[in-house]
Amino acid sequence: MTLVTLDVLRGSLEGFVPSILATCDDEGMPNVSLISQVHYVDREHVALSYQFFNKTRKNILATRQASVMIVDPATVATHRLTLSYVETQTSGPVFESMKAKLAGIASHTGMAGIFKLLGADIFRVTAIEALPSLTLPQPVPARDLLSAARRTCAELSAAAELDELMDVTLDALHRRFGIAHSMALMVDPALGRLYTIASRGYLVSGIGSEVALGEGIIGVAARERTPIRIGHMTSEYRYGAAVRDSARRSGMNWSQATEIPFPGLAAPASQIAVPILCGGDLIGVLFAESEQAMRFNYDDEDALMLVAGHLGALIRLLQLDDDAVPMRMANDIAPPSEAAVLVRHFAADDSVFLGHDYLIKGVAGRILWKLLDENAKTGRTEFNTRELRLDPGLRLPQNSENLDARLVLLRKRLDERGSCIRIEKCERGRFRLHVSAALVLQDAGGAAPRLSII
Amino acid sequence: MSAGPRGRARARPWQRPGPWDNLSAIPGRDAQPNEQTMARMPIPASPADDLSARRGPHDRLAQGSVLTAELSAFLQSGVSVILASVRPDRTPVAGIALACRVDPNGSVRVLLPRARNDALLDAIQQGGAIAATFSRPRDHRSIQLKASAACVVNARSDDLPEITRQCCGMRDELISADYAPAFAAAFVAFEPSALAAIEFFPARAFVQTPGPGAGSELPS
Repeated sequence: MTLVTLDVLRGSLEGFVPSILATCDDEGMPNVSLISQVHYVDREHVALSYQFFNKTRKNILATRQASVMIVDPATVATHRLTLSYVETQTSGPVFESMKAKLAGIASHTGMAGIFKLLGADIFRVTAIEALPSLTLPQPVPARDLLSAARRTCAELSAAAELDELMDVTLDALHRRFGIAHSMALMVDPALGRLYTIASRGYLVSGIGSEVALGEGIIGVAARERTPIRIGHMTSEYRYGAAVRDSARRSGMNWSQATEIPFPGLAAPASQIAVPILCGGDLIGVLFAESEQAMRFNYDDEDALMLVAGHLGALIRLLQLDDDAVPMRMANDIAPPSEAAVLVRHFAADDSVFLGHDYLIKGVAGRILWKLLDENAKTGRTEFNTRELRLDPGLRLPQNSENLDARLVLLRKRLDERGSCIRIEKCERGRFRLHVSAALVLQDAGGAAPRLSII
Repeated sequence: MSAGPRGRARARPWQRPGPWDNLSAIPGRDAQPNEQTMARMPIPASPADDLSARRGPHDRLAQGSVLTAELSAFLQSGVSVILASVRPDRTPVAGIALACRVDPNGSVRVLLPRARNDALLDAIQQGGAIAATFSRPRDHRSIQLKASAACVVNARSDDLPEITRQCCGMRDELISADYAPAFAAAFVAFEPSALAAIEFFPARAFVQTPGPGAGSELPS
């Protein structure tokens, strides 16, 4: 028996090669079947999917013992695990991770809609035997993921602003991890939704597009605060479908009018979503996808979790560093250069339209409306984040890192539209409002619409 | 004893693994599979196929056998053969075989690499019962045989050609399921001088093909 740990056998647990599961009943009659999922839980535990109350399940409950043979898909190295049943989980990170994988497998094997994960059977691994077999040489990996994670974290540490952090992250995913299609999303805890703040590798950026917690691979990763991977993409976990379903459930045409389409590959084969956490708090989600099946493995998951963890800590640090900066009045208001633009604000969801075009809603919409209103009343163009945080009218969520993210979102949306309104960053914590056209502000959500002309 | 309820589907584990970029450096990728076994079955097998075949008149291989000539041919057609036995302390042990031969009297002879299956062979020699499941990756047709006793014997010289033939069949099955040729070849590789055989007379047979009826016992 060779002493090996489960950590180094994770390649055999990816599901490339079916595993052999042996159990026995109380009378000593064995049962053997092929299984597609032996899920790595930690160094001492694996989980098997419980889908049907079959002979295997009866045996596990009766004797609590199992023997599993696993095969490495690259080297054909074969190991036998001796398992002791611990418990069945019907919710939580392990369950959701297995459920997503199973959905992918079901879709891939023509069993979509039939497979349903009833539980994740957790087993303690009491022995690991290396079995003699003809092995192939271990292929040279395309990249060193640990090195890529380390260098990405170093680059992140040099970033000074939230949007810079996001840009550095997604650029590094491309350069260092070979991930060409990625997104970063921030959570809005009050609404239970995530919104896209940065993306790479898509025809449209999708900045501002949203997904609800628990919906699609991104929403599940956020809700469970756990990485979720799918090696064979399935419509069940598509964010596009999730967003559309969400809109349908809300039953509003309005939601379609204010819905920013999600970016994303037309036919992704693999996806991974990892939560951006800090001290257990959910800050957002890092998402990547590929047209290649089984593109992301356990090691990719670890590397991206390292990057996301560092990113989360740095986002929190930025927030703590954001000192109060005194307000300044504008002395030089740029003269309007274009025809008057109607800016409408709908209080019901704080959506803001420039002319007939939807721009933004929610917290970012409220912020923009406040800035424009203040600018119209006093001529101010310079603001700081501290005053926004303290403004009760903005009803900001408690975790104020959302404010920075909302400002990034707002600035990017304005820039993408090439609008007559721009927000420019100044030194830390301060920003400047640029308005290059006459604006007509119309508060369309109040009892009596208020009009003012700049 | 049923291996699964009626009306429920089971996993189809031999999934197509997608691109094998991580195997690009491995020699032997250009090996061509046998054209005959490359014929794909677009429609997966169903448990009903085996169950309905047993409802009508069918010829048993021999008196008291759960096997038919057709099933016997399937077992020997070059498919995946996986095994289980039970140690005296009532713990199960998994094993894997290379090939299978069926005698006209209905007894089954499973051929396997000895070193990889030491624990399983020990369990059987100590009186453990046996379960053997035969699966065809191409269409997921799966049959499980069970017997309360088996014996371990040496492989015979006339087993070798049959092992080679069936391993080539299994290799081609894997390639047809999009596994890399180098992987498929290594998966079925064996050392001719280190083989054993397990002989048993199957008492019961179950259909384990995924789909409604999976786990049902085949009437004898």
